[in-house]
Amino acid sequence: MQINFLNDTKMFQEKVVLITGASRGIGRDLAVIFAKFGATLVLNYRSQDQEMQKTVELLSEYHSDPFICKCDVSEYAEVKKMVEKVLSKYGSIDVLINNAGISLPKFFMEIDENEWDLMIKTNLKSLYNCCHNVLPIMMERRTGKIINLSSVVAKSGSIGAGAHYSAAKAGVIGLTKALADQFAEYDINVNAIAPAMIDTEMIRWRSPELLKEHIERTPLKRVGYTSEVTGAALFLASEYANFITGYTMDINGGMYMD
Amino acid sequence: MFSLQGQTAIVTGASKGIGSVIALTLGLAGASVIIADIDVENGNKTSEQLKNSGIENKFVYSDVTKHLDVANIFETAISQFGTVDILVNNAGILSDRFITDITEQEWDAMIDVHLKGTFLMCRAVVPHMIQKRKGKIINIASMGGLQGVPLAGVHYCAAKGGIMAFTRQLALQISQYNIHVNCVAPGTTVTEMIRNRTEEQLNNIIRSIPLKRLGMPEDTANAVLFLASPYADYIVGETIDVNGGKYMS
Repeated sequence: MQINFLNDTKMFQEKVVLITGASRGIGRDLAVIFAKFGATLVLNYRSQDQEMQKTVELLSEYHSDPFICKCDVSEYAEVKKMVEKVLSKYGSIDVLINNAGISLPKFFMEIDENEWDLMIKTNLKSLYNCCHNVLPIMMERRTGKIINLSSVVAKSGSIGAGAHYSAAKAGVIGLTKALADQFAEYDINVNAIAPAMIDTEMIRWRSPELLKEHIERTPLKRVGYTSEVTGAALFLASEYANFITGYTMDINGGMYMD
Repeated sequence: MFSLQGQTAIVTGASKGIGSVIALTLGLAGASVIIADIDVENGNKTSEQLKNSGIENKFVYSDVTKHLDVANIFETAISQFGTVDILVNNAGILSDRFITDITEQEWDAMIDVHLKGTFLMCRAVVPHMIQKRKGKIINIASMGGLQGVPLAGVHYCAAKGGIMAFTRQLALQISQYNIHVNCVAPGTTVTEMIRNRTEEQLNNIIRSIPLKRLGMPEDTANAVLFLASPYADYIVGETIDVNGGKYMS
């Protein structure tokens, strides 16, 4: 395996990459980096039409014409339909990035049952829905990469995020390991990424004081940039990471080192 | 994808095995490379091979357990290339002796080359990196430092586990200077180190790996390259498992 690293900007050409939750934040920047490296993009989002429009405009700079699938990935039937559409349009899915998710920072005693159920459904069951529908395609082709977005709070405790969020994100890691183990024989790699404070809308719930405190507790003394998450996803989705599976990559500036 | 143009990397134990492939990989990504090793013959061969691939490099004969040799590695890097941006502590030895067969000398040698070598190299390079407010240190640990593995001695696993603890603590202390300290922990990898294994032993290992193959030096080198790149600039104190799913930490 001899690779010319300076000349691999086409490494995702002819690869179909499905990214959920791509209308903004990390999902949007994931779309951009995979477009830069030549991927055929399928972008899912649920409700933010205007934000999705912005993502599409950004992508036009890279001559990328993404296939947009508006649906709720927490609903199995909708995911099934989405995957069928992708399959009939492109014939394959090479990379699945389970990025869609919500955050509802709240003290445990204030989380009602509906909120608990919604969190688990949106941040964990959605992965069941997507993996369950996409894996048969990857199994048949005996190749594939799945990357699941977890979070530092899956390992570190909540650091202000809700307990339901921590629990769902820890579930993501468990699912990642189980799928890695069960699908390795089909040469399918399943890995997770556990970011801490990345500079997106999602960290804005913190007050400036709380944000400052969290930065103080981070050895690198700063928040992370989306490029530092998307670059990791690019690596894990590439052939450079063919021997890595069941692994959770911590991207947290040293906030939590296990 | 990963350009290291204009950067200088020191790779210890780079004359053969995983180290030589790390040196080649970083070089192909554009870095100038210092090949540090105690093995002159293979060191010169690797140097020649890199040169033929158009990679600026210099072989430095050195024993990483000797502080004078370590100083020489660093000074050669500065005099040849003017800077050190990346340090890969890869030098190591493997032994599968049972505890009662390990002599005190063998214990010391094992701990020295992995742990003292990593300590001395970091101590030599860190002041330069602090001054520049920039640096990448990548230590090569092993799956044997994370879980019990067949065909490795307690001294080897203890040393590799120590490298990961060292990595986390150094990361905690010097991340504030924009220096990134991380590990790569390979599983059983196809190198000369496992040449004495029987086919049956290797087949047993392969059967236990979900991806049903042994690691290649390139698998580890690619993870090193990723950590050396700007894509990994928010990752510190981390160990990347490159083991085909054998151990999921």
